[in-house]
Amino acid sequence: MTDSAIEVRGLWKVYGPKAERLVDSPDADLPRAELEAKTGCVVAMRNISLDVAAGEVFVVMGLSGSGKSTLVRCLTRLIEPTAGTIRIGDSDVTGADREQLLAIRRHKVSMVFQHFGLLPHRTLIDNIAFGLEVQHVSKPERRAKAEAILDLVGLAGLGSRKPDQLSGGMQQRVGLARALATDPEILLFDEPFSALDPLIRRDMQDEIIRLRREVNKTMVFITHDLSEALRLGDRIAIMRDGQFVQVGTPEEVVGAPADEYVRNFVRDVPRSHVVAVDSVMLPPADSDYCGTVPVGTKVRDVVAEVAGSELPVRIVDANGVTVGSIDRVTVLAVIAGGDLVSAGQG
Amino acid sequence: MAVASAALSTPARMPRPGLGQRLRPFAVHAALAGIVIAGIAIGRDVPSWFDAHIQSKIDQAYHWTVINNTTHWLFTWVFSPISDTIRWSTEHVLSFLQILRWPGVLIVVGLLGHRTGGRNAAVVGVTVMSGCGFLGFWDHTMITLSLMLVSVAVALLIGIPLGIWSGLSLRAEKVMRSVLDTAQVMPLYVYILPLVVAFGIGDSTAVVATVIYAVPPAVRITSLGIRAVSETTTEVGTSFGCTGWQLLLKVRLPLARRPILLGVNQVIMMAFGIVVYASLIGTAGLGGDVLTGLQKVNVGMAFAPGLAIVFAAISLDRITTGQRDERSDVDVVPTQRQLLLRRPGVAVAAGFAVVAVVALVAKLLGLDHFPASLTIDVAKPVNQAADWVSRNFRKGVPVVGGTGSFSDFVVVNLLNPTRDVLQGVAWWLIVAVALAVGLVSGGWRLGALCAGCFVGIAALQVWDLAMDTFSQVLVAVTLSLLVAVPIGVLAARSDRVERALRPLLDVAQVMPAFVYLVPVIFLFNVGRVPGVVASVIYAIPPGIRLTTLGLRQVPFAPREAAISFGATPRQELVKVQLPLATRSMMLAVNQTIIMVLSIVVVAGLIGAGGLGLETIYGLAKKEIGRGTAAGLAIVLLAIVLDRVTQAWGNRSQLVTRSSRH
Amino acid sequence: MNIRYARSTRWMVAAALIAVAAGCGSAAKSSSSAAGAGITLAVNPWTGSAVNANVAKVVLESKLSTAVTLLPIDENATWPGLDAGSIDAVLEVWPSGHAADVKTYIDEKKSVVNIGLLGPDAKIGWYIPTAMLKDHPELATWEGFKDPKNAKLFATAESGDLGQFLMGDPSYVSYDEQIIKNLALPLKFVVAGSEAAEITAIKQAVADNTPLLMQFWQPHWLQSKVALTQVTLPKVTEACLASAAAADGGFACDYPVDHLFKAASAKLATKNAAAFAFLSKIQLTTDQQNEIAAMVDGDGMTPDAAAKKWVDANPDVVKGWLG
Repeated sequence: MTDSAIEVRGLWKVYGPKAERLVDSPDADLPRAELEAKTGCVVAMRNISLDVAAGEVFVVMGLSGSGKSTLVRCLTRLIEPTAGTIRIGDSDVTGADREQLLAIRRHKVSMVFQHFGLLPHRTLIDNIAFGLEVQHVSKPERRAKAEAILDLVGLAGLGSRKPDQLSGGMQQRVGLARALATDPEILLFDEPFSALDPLIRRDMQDEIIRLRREVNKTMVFITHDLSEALRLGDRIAIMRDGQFVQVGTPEEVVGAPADEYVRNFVRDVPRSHVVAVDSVMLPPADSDYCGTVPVGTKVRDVVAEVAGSELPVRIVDANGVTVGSIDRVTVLAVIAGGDLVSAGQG
Repeated sequence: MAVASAALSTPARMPRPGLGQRLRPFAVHAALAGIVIAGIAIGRDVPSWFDAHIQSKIDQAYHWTVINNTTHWLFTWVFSPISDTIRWSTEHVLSFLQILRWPGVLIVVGLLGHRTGGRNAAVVGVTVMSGCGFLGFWDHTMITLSLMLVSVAVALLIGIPLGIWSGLSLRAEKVMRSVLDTAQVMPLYVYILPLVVAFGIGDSTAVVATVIYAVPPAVRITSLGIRAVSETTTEVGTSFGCTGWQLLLKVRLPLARRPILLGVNQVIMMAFGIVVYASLIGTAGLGGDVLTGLQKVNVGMAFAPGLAIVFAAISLDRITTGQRDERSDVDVVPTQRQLLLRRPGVAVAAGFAVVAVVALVAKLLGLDHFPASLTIDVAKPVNQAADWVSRNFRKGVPVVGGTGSFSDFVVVNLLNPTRDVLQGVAWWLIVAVALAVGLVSGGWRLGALCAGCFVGIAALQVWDLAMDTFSQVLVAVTLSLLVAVPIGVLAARSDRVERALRPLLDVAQVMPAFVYLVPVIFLFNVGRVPGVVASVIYAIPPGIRLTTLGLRQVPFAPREAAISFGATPRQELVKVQLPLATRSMMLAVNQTIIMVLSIVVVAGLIGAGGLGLETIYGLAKKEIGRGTAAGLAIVLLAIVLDRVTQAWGNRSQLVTRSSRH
Repeated sequence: MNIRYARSTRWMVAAALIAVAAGCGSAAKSSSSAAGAGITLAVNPWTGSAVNANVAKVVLESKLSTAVTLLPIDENATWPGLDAGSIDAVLEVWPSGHAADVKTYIDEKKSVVNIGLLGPDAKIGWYIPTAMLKDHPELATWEGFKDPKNAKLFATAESGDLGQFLMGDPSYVSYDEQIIKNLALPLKFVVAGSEAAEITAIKQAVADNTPLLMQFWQPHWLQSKVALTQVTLPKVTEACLASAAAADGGFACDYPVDHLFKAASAKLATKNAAAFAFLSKIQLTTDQQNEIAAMVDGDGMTPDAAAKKWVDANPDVVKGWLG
């Protein structure tokens, strides 16, 4: 089929008696309270399908109760899905038996948890080596590996401490190190930085960006923080009531919200930081240009040019061919708000 | 039931609406109406035909064992080998303790204490253990200790795996719960003779009996500990591909270490609590010394070995469950020598070497017995104190009169009216009331259980005795709470009070009731009141502990809010702390009831009559059936009271929870 | 470094082993070159029982080279011990409390044998503090209790309007309820639950000079410490004894005299015939037993020392047991 790293089709999770009956039934569309009164069931996740490409960072964003944590847990069947299929690489997760499932969890996928989930009775080294220990890697080998990873996350020399001696940010570095130690193909993050204060959170996001450059893993990242999603995600899925409302690149989500819900969400995001010039560009201008930028430049980066001149800015592709232009009106429209953007596009 | 047993138990499941719920009011009315109609037809008293014939069946079974215990395979192939193994163990533990001699034993105590709990535990362990020697009971303490070490080890070997199982499986927990209740509340007098017939006199039966009594807290607390490991942490294990075993060994057990240590503590306390009974069946040691003192009605003579029992228990507890503060010693750079000693093999070998050298030196110096010149005679001053108290408190105390008139007051104004009501009304009315109370407290299941238990008591043909005991339990529980709650509040407000109370509570919990029976009788006259008083002494420690714990666990935020609104300390207590501590307080009530019920038999020994006296007949007259029927009735009473109060606790928890969100 | 660790560890372990071995050697009990197999005698928790057992132990060990272990044990748990042979003999059985054991183990299973009377007789009865007779001489016999006014002297909070009759250890035989009912006495039967509880009640009554009516017996060490008087009950008759045997509830007379006896495990005769023969023969008179008991209870000697002293002072009596 595809060469995506993760492939999910028609995934459901329903809590309650005879949960499987609700899958694809009309009842599933009832409002939550009504459904619970009628069947005693709660639908946590309905009919989710997604593909994550190898090396991609896929962010799932939603408010609490939207089903995003359920989704990430279903990927390795920490929560057993009610219906649907999951494939990770060439492994069929939903069809896996116990041994296969253990192998997937041990070698292919690692997870970073919201509250770190460090084991308080172990030193940092032993916490990081936990995944290897579970795989029965010998003690010297797993210690050596753990030491190396400890360096990678910037905690060199602290290996013999216990978790409760570290700050939250440092603890989550350990959580990250633990996930990296087994050298998995896929990293899952369940709101890993939501318990950290803003400055540390930003540091950690930088850490992820750096790691991504260095280790190039496929990542599924759960968050309720839109700016975090926009910063880290190649693609973002907005989730609400157990469903994906919109899946797209950051600029698609910000630039063209699929519905009112998403629009409300992204309203306060400075669009010019997200939207690339080529997604709002006009045809090449007849006039002269006041400057030239490559495709992919964010709108905010041409503000200086158009502010100092009446002329538009030329947009060129990788080969230097002019593909379009952007003028002051369009830039202002992007900065000003959604409606004008679509107007500009139209 | 152990302290904190239900502290973390799962809350009642939210009922799911459905057909059952809509039918329930009808079912309830129908059941109540049925009871009343059937009751009126049957009459006020339990009819003689309503008899489960437990007594005669048990008597026949017992007679069969007595006749066949030398020939039947069950005895020759099952009980005898177990018995031989236990006897072999206790004998070897004892001779090991004797080889060590007293200096060696004290060194072992010190080293173990140091290892588990640091210097503090070592000092306390050694000091308290040598107290047994100063009392002049070193040799007998070693005999008792050998018995206890084997009992505690067996109880933990059985209790912890069962606890793990019940922590992992709700069904296992459900099944075990009733078994554990029975093991804990069924008076030892009921089954001690059958055990003797099966396992023989002496250590083996003593160990088996102790294990039966001490296993329940080990199971309960281990199970709670396993359940309390947060799901987020176990999820981490699962996500990294742990198998079930790996999850248990690498995540659950290490994280449940503290509760499991609490379980060890409770096992030790429980085991030492029945040392005296063990001496009834041919084991030497401190228990026998207590009984000898009791036999001579000599308070001091019973008190000294009783205190030695308490010392041995506390010492063992401190060195096994000591808590080292693991954070403190990390930043200190260890010296070369410390590093050497941290290698596990080296430390153990060094320990062995020290112990061996000390034992050898002790042997060469001929230190076979604890030096007699160091012993302190506590019997005489204790007797003097007891005499003084008896002389001065019994009567002639201004205003209140004295313990004698207090006793008469309790009999005439509390015990008699309660008993007369319980015995006076028709038995089926009590069944109906039990049904109603159960229903209101925890739903129709609980109602059915309560009613069923009382019907069971009727079928055991011990109704009037049970109502007599029930009335005493109610009075004892009320008095216990009246004492325990204020003290608990005081201890929660002052660290100093709490620290001062801790050893006293340990003593009250482990000191054999036999020791204080005599002064209690002297003060309160033979009858039900000394029984009530003994129950109160025994039952207040958990009541105080849980009250203090509950109040201290109340988060500071709501208290701070109250203070900011100008609440006085009293208002803060009454309007914020107590309501928020309701769950813990209900647990205190629950534990108090269970404690009172588990000492009913002791009350029977000092004139309380009722079911307690009836169970004594199991041993005293070999009427095993009669004792069993009474014992089962105590268990049924305990189940009703336990489940109802737990339901109250769970409900108050739900209230607190929802109010916090 | 590693080699040094290993070496020091080895040293320490070696030292430990040597020391433990040395300790073991000394702690092993010196086994006596006994002629007869060692035996175990039960000691039930009262002075008389301790006295008899210790006297037997002194003689068995000095004259018959038989090592004796004394086992303190509850009297009811003694019987399964005799049955299994883990107890070889008990020298003071009060028949009134052990009718069921005699039936089960001696008559039916035959694993325990009656090896004759110990000598002293025992008697259960109704007692009051002697001091009470000064004001109420009529209470010396049961008829004095027919008067409700007299009976009410004994009333307590527990007994209400009736007089209280106190029973002690529930393991003793008790016809008291039947006696009260059949003689129509205005008394209420109350069980103290244990001997200790009863003795405390007696001490308390004597100390306060308050009335107390109870079941008690002799010989008992308390009898020499406080003055108690036995209340005369109707004479024992054949009809009364028959009624007790039939358990028809018609008992209405005094308690019969208990002849204290000795019991042994059936295995003892083959295990150690000499000891069996000696134990069958040993007897003490009431005076002799009281004499030794007084050394223990009165003079504070250990039962062991008292027995040695008495055996040394009475070689003729001892010779009679051995002959």
